[in-house]
Order: sequence, then C-alpha cells, then structure tokens
Amino acid sequence: MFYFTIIGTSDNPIYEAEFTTAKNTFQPEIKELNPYIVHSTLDIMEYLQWQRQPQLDINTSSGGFLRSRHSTQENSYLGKVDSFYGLAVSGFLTYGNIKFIMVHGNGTVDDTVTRSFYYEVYELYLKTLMNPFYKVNDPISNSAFDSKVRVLSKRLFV
Amino acid sequence: MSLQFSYEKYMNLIQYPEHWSNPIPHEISKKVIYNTLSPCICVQSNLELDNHLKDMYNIDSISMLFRYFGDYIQDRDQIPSTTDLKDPGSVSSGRHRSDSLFQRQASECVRFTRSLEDLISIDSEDHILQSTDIDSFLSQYLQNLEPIMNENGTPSKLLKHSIYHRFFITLSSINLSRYHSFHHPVVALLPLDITKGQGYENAREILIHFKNLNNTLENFPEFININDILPVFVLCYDENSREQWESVQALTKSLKKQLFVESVSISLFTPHDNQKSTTLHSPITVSLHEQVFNMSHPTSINIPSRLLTHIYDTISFIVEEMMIPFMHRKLVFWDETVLQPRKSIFQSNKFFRRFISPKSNHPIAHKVNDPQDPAEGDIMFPASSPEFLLRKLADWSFMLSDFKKAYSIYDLLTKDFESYPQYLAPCLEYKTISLLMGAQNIITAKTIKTEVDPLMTRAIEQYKKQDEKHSLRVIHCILTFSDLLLSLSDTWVSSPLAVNYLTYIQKSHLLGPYATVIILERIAYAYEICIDLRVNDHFLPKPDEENKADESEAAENSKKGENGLEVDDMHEWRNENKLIQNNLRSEGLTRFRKYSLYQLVAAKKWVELHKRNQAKWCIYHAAPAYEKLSLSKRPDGLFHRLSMELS
Amino acid sequence: MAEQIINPSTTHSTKVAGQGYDYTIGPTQTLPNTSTATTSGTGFVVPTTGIYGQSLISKEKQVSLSAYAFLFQSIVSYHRDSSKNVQEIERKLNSSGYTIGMRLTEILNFRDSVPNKTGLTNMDSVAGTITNMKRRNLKILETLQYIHLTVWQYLFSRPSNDLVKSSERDNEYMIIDNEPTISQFIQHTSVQCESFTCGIIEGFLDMAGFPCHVTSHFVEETGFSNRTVYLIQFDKAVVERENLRQ
Repeated sequence: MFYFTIIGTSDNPIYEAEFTTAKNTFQPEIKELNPYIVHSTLDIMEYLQWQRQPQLDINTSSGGFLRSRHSTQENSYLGKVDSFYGLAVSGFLTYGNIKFIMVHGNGTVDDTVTRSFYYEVYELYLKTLMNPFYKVNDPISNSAFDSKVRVLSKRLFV
Repeated sequence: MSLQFSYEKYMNLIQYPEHWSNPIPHEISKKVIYNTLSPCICVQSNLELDNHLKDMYNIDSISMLFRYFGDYIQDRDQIPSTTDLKDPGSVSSGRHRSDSLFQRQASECVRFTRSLEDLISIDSEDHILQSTDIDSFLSQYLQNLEPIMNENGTPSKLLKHSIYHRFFITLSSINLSRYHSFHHPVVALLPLDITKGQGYENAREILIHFKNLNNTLENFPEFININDILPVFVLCYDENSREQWESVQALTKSLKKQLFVESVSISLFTPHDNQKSTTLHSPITVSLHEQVFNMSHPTSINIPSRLLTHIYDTISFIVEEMMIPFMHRKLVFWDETVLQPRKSIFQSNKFFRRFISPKSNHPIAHKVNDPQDPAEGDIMFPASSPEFLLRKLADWSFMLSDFKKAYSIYDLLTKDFESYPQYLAPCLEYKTISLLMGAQNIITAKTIKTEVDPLMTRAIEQYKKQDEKHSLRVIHCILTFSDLLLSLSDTWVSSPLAVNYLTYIQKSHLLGPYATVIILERIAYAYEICIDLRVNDHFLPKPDEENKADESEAAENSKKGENGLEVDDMHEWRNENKLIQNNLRSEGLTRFRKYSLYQLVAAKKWVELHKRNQAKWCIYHAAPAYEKLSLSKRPDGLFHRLSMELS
Repeated sequence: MAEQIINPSTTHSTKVAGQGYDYTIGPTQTLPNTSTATTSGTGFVVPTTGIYGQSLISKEKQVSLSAYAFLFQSIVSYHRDSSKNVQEIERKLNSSGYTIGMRLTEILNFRDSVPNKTGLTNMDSVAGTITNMKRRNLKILETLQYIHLTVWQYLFSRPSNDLVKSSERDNEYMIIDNEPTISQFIQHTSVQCESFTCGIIEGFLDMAGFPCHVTSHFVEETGFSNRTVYLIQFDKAVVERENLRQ
C-alpha cells in the first residue's frame, strides 16, 4: 500500500491519494499519521534540494542512493529519502520545486517502478499546470487527474 | 521559596512549579550522569545511635540522615538560601555555596549509601530491575504530577526534561557490580554515639568488625577489597556538654594514634528546642525501590538550621581532606605497581609474553560459580587481580574528573578483556563515556563519525551478546550515549546518531508504555536541537504567544494591505501570485518538522495512557508547525482530533 | 487541433467513476471494486479528452505579430485605466507575466528532458520515453544562463544579447536585450512596458527557488533606441545559500 502526495510551496498538500488493494491496506494508526510523516520528510527533502550531489550521509535514518558522482546526474528523482518505523518514504522534486512524496507501506522502494511512476505523474501535473485557470498551489481536484493517477498506480503493485 | 535555580530543584522540579518556565540548563545531562557515577560513601550502622536519633529527630538511622546531604554537596541545597545570611549561628568556614548547575567544571559530588553489609545483601537476583517496575513507578509519579500540572497551565519543556532525567536515574542500577567499581564504597563512616558513653573500646570493636567483614560474611564478594575502603569515625556528641567535647578531642587523638583512623565530630545531639529548624526535602539520587517508597510514605524531618551548615561543613571536610587525598594516594600506588609494569615493553608485546612466567602472586581470573546468579557465574576477576585493579584505577580517575587518564586506561583494558565479553562491554562503555565527558573541545564532526560512533556500536554489540535478562543495562548504556551525544556542541552531526540509538530502543520493545513515550519525547528533543550551526534559529516557527509579538511588530513595520485587490490610497497594489518564502536561510538545515511529528506521536500515546496534561503540552509544542496547514483542520485528522479532545 | 473548451480544473464537466481530490476531506482510497480489475478493458472509464489528452510537446506554431501586438497593447491600456500611477501599471504588468514565468520553469525544463522530440508531437504521454530527467539548476549563474539562452529563444526566437553580473552588489545581475520584441511598437513612455517580460523572468526565478525582484530600464546605445536592461535583484538569502552550499 502506498500513500502519495504532492506538496506545494508552503508545506500544503495539493493532492493526496492512497493506493491500496483488498489485501494491502494501512493500519488505522499509520493511516492517520501518513500526512504528518510526509510533512516531516519535507525537512530531508529541503536539505537534499540544494545539495550538489544529493547523497544522504548520516543526516537521515537510512541509506542513500544514486552512487554515481557525475555532475550531470539527475537530481529530480531522489529515491528513498527517509524511513519511519518500517515504512519507507521516497521523493521527487520538480523543476519548480514542487515535491512529490510517497510513503511505501512495505518498507522498500523499487527504484525503477517508482521513478517511472513519478515521471508519469509529473507529466500529468504539468498538463494541469498549463491550464491558465489553475493557479500554482491550488489543490488539484480534477477527477480526470485523479483517475489517471490511479491507473498509473497499478504499476506499483507488481 | 528561593528563586535561585539549582540542581536539586531541577531534579525535584515536580515540587517547584515556579521554576517551570526556566530555560534548560546547559550540559545538564552530563551533570546527571556524573551524579550517578560519583563516589559512594557507606554509613555503617550503630544500633544505639540509631535509636537515639530516632527519639530525637524521628529518623530511622544515621545512614538515612546522611542520605539527605549527598549529591552536589557544594550546592548545600538543604539550606534554604533566605536564612543563610541572617542566621547568626551559621558557621562561616570559608566554604561558600556554589551552584553546580551553572558551573563548567565538575563540582564535588558524593552518594551516601547504607552499610556495607546491606549493600552486599541486596545484590541478589530479585533486585534486578525489570521494565515493569520502572513503568509502574512512572505511572504513579506521573499520576501525582497531573493535578499539579492542572494548576500550572503553561507548558514547560524543562519539566519534560526533568521527568526524563528522573526516568534515567531509575534505570541506573546501584547494585554492586563485579565488572566495574563505580558503586563500590570508597569511604566507610563508622558512627559513634558519645552521649551514650561509647568510647575507645566500642570504636575498636567496630573497626575490627568492619575490617573482618570479608571473613565473617559468607557472601562477601571477591571483587571488593576491604582495604580499599577508607574508614572514618564519626563522633556524635552534644555541644552543650563540656565533658563530651573533651572526650571527643581525646578520642580523636587516640583513634588516630592507636588505630590509625581519622575521625570527624558532629554535634548531632545538641538539644534544639528554641532554634529555628528547616524541613528537609527528599534526596535526589536514590534507587527505584526507595523512590517508590518515598512517594507513598512522605515524611518530613526537621533539623535545626545551624546543624545543617555544620553537617555540610563536616561532609566537605571528609570529602576534601580525607576522601580525595586517599583516592589520590591509592591511584599513585596502583599506578606504580600495576600500570607501569603493564605498560612496559614486555607486557604489551605478545611475543615476549610467552617468556614471562606467571611469577607474580597476583591471582588470575578464575571461574566462579555464583549460586545466586548462575548466568553470570562464568568469570570473575577478584579484587586483587591486576585487571580489576586497573579497572578500579580507571574508575577512580573518572570519579576525580581525570577523564584523559581514565580513557587511556580503559583503552588498555579493552585489549585485556578481549575474550571476556561481560567485562569488555562495560569497559567499552566507559571508554566512550570518558571520551565524551572529557574531550569536549577536540571532538569534531569527523571524530564523531570515525571514532565515537564505532566505539558505541561496539559497546552495544558486546552488551547484546549477553543475556536478555540484563537488557536494561543495554538501554541504560544507550541512553547515556545518546545524552552525551546531544550535549555536544555540533548537534547537526551528533543528533541524528542519537536518534538512531533512541529509535533502536523504541523498536526493540524492551520497555513498557510509559518509558516508551518518554523516549519518544527524547527523540523529539533530539530533532529540536538538530540545527546546522550556521543557521540562526530565529526563523523557526514558535508557539503562539511568541508569534503574536512578532506578528504585530511585522504588521506595524509594513504598510501593506492584506488583499492585493483592495484599492486604498495608503496601500500599494501587490501581486497575489507572488511566492513567499520565509525560511530561505534555514531551509533544509533544521529538523523542526520531525520534532513536531514526534511530539504529535507522543501526544497520541499519552492520550492512550490517560495522561491528558502531558498530551496537552505535547500538542502545544507540535502546534506551530501544523497550525497553518489546511490538513490540520480536517475534522477527522489526527491533529485536529487531538486538539479538540484535549482543549 | 481539437476545438475543446479549456475547463477549469475546479469544475467537473463530465461525470466519471471515481471522484477528484477534495482538499478539505483528504485522500481517498482506491475503491475495492474498481481496483481489482486486472485487464484494462474493464473497470472505470478513463477519460482521454480534456487537457490530459493533449501533448506537452509543442508543434512549432506561429502567431501573427500584429495580433500579438494588439493584444499586448490592450493589456497595457487595461492596466493603465485601472491604475493610479506608473508604478502600479508596472506592477500589474509584472504580475501578468509572472504566472507565465512560473509555468515556463516547469515546462521548458521538462521538454529538455524528453529525448528526440521531433517525433513525439502527437503522443499523449511522453513521460515513458524519458530515461533521466535533466539536472535541476542549483546555481544562480546556471539558471540565469538558461534564461539568457533557452527562455529567450522560446519567447523571442533568439537569445538575449548579454548577461552581466553587477560589480557593486553581489546579488544583482542584468540581462540586456537590444531590441525587446513585445514592446517594439510602443513609443518611449514613462511606463516600462517591459515589466511584462520582467514578470516572466521573476516568475521563472521564484518558482525555481531563487526569489528575486526584476525591473527594467532603458539604456540607449547607438542604433538601439529601445535597448532595455533587466535588472535582477536576488534576495540576500539566495546569495548566502549559494555560498553555503559550495
């Protein structure tokens, strides 16, 4: 099970969704904590946002990612950035510093699947943004966006 | 009530609500740790004297009396500060009161314990601390606290720290240990009641009895050497009687000359009908069982104020003029006889060791079957073995604040104890502790990662290899480590390490629910101070009252209107789409949101344990980060639900 | 191109299975009876019309310059009528360009990440073709160069003429355009119509994480009467951060 959010520029979520199946759902006590876990991960994301090489050292509770040191290395997809008692949290930064954060209920982050998921959602976000009536930081309440994201989320369960 | 804040007030903060808004004292963790490791002075019992004491002051025994005067003795915290100057009878012996809370260097600190026989007898199986004991104590302690918190509404971070340190102290076992010498008494006070006619003969008897305890007591442990305890006679007399005073003088001389033992005198039994007396407050560092007892049987003991000063003077005298020189002498002796040969080239080189036959008559470590504690009965180094003497040397250096020396000896011992994990673990533990206590200035971010962290991991590994029954030792070790890490100046690096360790305790479920919440709050504190040194934390959101002051200032300074579309002569048109970023300087360099998350989780757990006031304070501290978020206003969201429930 | 009315994202035009995100309520779960569908044919209808059906990769479209100039002129008059002073007109023009700039940060960088753009102009979703996102610019100079080259190219079909760092203050930079395109038909007035372009730059930089304030000034040179200098003043905190994060 997964909990996905898009966070705007002032810590406010502009989109949230839970991806669950009949077998995989969040425990109620975790479920109510999810938004706050994501909020706390913002500390780490902000730290990584401006690092030249976004590699985590001891300043987080768990391991890093992206071992390569190339200066042209991508710094949008951050991989697993944090963990919280058995849950893993992954993050993605857009060029406008909007943050996509997802809580992985099974404690692991599959980089390839998650990365492609983020890319697809980013494209959807951009299309929403291109709408002149949509202001940055507005909640995305369009149902088409929602349905498309849910279709994409199916890939995460493989 | 005195307005001056002191160590005693901090530890007993539950009784001093007026101090709850004080800031957190600097390096308080170090002081607490140092207090739990200070030299022990055991007070032997004297039945006649105890009965006399009971009649006069309603105190059970003289060791109980001394208990009230322990810990940071220069604070003289039993003396209320208002009466200090006015009392004409107070003896001014040049010993001024000090405030150990605010001093940098370590003050004199001692702990008074029961008699040696008592100490040995309680070192048995059923007194091993269980996590359930701690939890029930905490539950009661916090229950007592709830009504006091009701009256004093302002949330106080200081009180939470005090509760944590009280929890920490309950974890610190004071049982005699074969692995280190921190709780072995250094001085033994042998009291004599002069008013009842006890004199030289009684003294001689008591001394002989004391010196032969290792032969007479059947379970006298082999790791204690009775000759390493300094006996001191305490002659208690009545000041008003001239002849008692003279016999005290004579006795002091004869005891010195014939028995070679020093003595001090206290005019304990002077009648005090017309004098001003003070009610003593409870002592600070006591074991869990005594704390539980104290809570359910509060007693009030009145002592004349003059006597208080006199007692403190005597204790300072014992400590400064007798105990410390004694310890120094022993240290020098052990240094010469054990340490120097150990450091010589032949000993350290394993190749040469083969050629050295065990000529020395030092007994070596042997297997001991301890009937009371079969699991620990593997190996014991007796008191006279060179390894244990070295350990003692290191421990005593630590107690005298010579951390550098202690560290070097612990380092030496880690090689010796390689094959004895039960001895190795405390050795590594104290090596780390002495490193962090002493070398404050040379510890850089790099040292933390390359030296301190591996050392800690190694110590914990060794502890984990041992029996589950003693899991509380691991927890105590880890808590000590994390406290010391959090008191370093470079918290940006050390704080995440501390969080790792604390989270490890949490995940292992070794502690009960109350202890777990307290650990959660400690994790929150660790995140609160995790700020990069280059940031001025002025930019972090603060709780309401402070925020309102800032906001009104900002509103006065700027002339802007709220809504950009308001066309007002005084206001300028503003772009309402303009992104505002307030925390650019501290972006990513604090862990404020993590702090708030853990406060929220702690609040939730407190509600489950029905401690509403504790939960309320946690929510108050979590509020600055969450108040402005729309997600916090959702009716079924956690924050909103808890806020409503607790308001 | 399909003639579709652009629906604001806040209205629901077609009812589809599944609801949108409501920020006062919070996240909704994927409903059990719709999520267990394994084949793509069953389950709920995924709409392919509307903005999500459009491609993000643009075709090279041309717009008539005169139409654009008239449009711009009416924007300027509109703001002029509703304002009291020159400063206010400029602010309003700035804000008009600001929202454009905010979007440009995202879309231009995204397009740069997509390899092989020419063949993709009709594709619904191009994210699948991306292997690696282009690196986010973390330094002031990199971002400004991006504006100087790519953004200007996108807006005006040519790069700007110069990018200069001020020698007096370390938080000031200048972009120079000899013949600004959008105001080329406007006579010199006291109103800086290039505030519109300033807004674009400001929106771009703000969104990219470099809060700043941009103003334009006429600096004439021989042959270029409309030569404009765009003065970019970054927040002091931005420069501090740059130095901190070496």
